[in-house]
Amino acid sequence: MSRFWPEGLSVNDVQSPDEILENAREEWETSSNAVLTLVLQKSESEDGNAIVIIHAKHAPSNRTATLFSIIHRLNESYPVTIQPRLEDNLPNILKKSYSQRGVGDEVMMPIAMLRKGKTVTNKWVSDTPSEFREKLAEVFNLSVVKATVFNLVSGSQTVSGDNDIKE
Amino acid sequence: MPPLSRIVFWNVNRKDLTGAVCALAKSTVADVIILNESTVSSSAILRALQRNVSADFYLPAFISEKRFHCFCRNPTLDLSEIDSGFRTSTRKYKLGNQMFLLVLLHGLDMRNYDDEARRSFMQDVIRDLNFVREDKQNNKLILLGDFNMNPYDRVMNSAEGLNAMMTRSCAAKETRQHLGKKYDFYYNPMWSLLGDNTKGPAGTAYDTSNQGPYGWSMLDQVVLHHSIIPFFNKVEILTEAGGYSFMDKNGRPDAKNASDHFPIVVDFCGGHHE
Repeated sequence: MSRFWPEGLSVNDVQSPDEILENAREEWETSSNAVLTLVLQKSESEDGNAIVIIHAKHAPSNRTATLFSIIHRLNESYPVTIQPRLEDNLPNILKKSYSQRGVGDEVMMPIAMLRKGKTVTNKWVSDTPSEFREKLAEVFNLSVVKATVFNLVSGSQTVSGDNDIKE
Repeated sequence: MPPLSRIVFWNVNRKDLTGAVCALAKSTVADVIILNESTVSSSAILRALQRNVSADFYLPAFISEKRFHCFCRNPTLDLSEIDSGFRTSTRKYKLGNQMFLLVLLHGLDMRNYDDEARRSFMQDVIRDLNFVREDKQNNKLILLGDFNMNPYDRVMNSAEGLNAMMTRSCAAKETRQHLGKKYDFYYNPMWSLLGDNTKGPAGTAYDTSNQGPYGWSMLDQVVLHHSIIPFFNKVEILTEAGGYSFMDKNGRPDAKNASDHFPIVVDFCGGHHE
């Protein structure tokens, strides 16, 4: 059993986040019989990081919806983080889970914060391709993403094609 | 001459202002009513509009109506949603034989987000706009909403920002170059409504706390791609409609009985407006 080889690292698995997203796009097209695809919009943040924004596209109607984005350094594929779409305007009864403040939290929190700093864990950061694949699968299965994709497809029954959108 | 199309936009501040919305729709004879931060279901508002204003009102097809409730009474305008961004909603807007894209947006609010966060958010919006332009192959964008920015905020008028100019003639040049890249000009007519030397209120929202250093702010805006200028007629801030006053005794938005924002009404014409 290996003691010194870093866990989760494989020299045969060197896919970049962009390549993994391309695989995801192909899988979407196959699984939906080309009705749905992913559009990968590449951009750069003001502080010089690479951003890829992932949009779902309903091909027959050309309607699109933003799902989430990923961010990494310009010349380094890893670490990479996923920024999911927020459910900020959804009432709590329509969220599968949400956090609720305990009684007295408002009073206790500032005191606790004065006493010590806290470690914030970003569950969406990946250091390796395998980790990124796992989290990518997870983000595609978030309620907010599934609902957005469902609405994109179901609402499209009444919408005409894209021929009239182009200039 | 009546406008070819009239749009009313109102941030209703999470209040049930259905009666006022109906009065607004009736008195302005608007084709399109767009509500932001509405907590009343769109079907309830639609029923009220159909009953009290016109049976022609309908809900255009949407992907998500979390942020914006959109009502239309003129099916030739279309208004169906073709892109749902993080905080934007893009809709087809067919005026005569022209297809424009109406982008509804809602910026981060001043109370909970500092200048840096709101500026960074606008950069996200600009990325959304770039995507819409490229994916739909149409750059005739009309941006409408509660920007939570003033027309003079840097990101509103810098080349890499919205590039939105103060006057029609500024935007008439169509593009400007910055660091070797060309950027399309936009026109922001809200500049013309700022301050107390104008007809109507000095802005759309009022706040003198440390988040509102100017007192009045022009948070609710319409911004147009330069190619749309010939089709733009006018924009106004509304303080009352059909017996409902949206203004308190000091002439500011009546946050108690109405909303902390005034509605705005935008008119479009058939083109080549002088």
